[in-house]
Amino acid sequence: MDAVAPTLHKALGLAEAPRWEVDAAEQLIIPHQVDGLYVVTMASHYGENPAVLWDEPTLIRAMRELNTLVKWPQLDFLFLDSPPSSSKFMQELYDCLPDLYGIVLVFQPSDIAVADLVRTIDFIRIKKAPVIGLVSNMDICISPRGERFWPYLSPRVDIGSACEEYGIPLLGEVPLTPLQAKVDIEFDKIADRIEKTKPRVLTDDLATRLCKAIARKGVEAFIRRLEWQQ
Amino acid sequence: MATITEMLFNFILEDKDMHMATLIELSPEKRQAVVGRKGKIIVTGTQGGVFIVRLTPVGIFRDEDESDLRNEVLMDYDTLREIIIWLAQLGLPESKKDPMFQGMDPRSAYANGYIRISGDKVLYDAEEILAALEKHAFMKMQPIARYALGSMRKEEKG
Repeated sequence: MDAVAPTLHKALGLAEAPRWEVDAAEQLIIPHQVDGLYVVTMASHYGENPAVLWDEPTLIRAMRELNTLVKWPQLDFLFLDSPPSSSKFMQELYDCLPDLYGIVLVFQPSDIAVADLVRTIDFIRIKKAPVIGLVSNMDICISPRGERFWPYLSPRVDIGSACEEYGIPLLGEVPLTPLQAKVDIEFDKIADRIEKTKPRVLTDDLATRLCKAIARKGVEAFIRRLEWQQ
Repeated sequence: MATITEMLFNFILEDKDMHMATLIELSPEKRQAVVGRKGKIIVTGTQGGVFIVRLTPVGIFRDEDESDLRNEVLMDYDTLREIIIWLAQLGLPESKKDPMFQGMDPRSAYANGYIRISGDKVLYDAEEILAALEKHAFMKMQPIARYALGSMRKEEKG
């Protein structure tokens, strides 16, 4: 839900968000078609530049309306991009999706992201939403010459192995690189693994152990960093 | 004595030629969907006003009856003033725009939370209202906005 900082159109390669078209007879919003994907972005509605200062009830109402007021064609999948948050908005969003197939957790494997991931897993546990797996995003950097390195100050955390240890598959590791082919290979892998993975609801016990394991990996990474600095 | 908002709305409501010209430009499906709708506009502030308007096949008319309102639009007079300023300068090259009067476009005012719209299908209705204004009505309303901006400038100097 790109409700307050809409950039989906840019991710899809559009210079600007096209205005929504509406079906006046059915009073529905018509999604735009971009490379075979049907897309709805709030940038079409209020533009991408203004700060969105809607209060939470207004945002929740808008999200509910988007759930019912879009004239989707027959879809194979509906993807919904949302932030790692446990706000009232996110709680309502999950409540609006009773037939949710599964969640793909997308995180950067850095110690700064560990707390967000742990909170998100705890939130998903409470909501009893099924998880497909984890994508490690903006992972190692691959230079145009093919050199691989970790480019951030925040140390790398092996989130993938912690998740796999508890049955949450690592679906792919998307590198930070200008080499499109490297990213494409990883995206193909992710799509393939998503198709083959059966989503699972995290039990209380599993989620607790998983959160502890990820937090432990975060601490290990922090200690490595301290050692390295000495 | 009528407020500035009341004078402005009365002026707009009197111009039935503009209403008809706008209605004619709509597709038949859209025209059929919007005719008969009623909405309430509330502009707060000492220069504000409250208006119930109804769209009929022969133009927009004031109504007194609050039943069957589809939407309620709420803003303060300062927001309306900013929109008028923006509209007055719409289409002008940057060099011709008054740096002292920048104004604000309605979509930004809506995103910033200065305009609140209520109803059962707010996103759909807001999009329809804003698109109709942009595609059909703004250019026709521009002479009124320019006149209003001229008055504001005199007031500032005055």
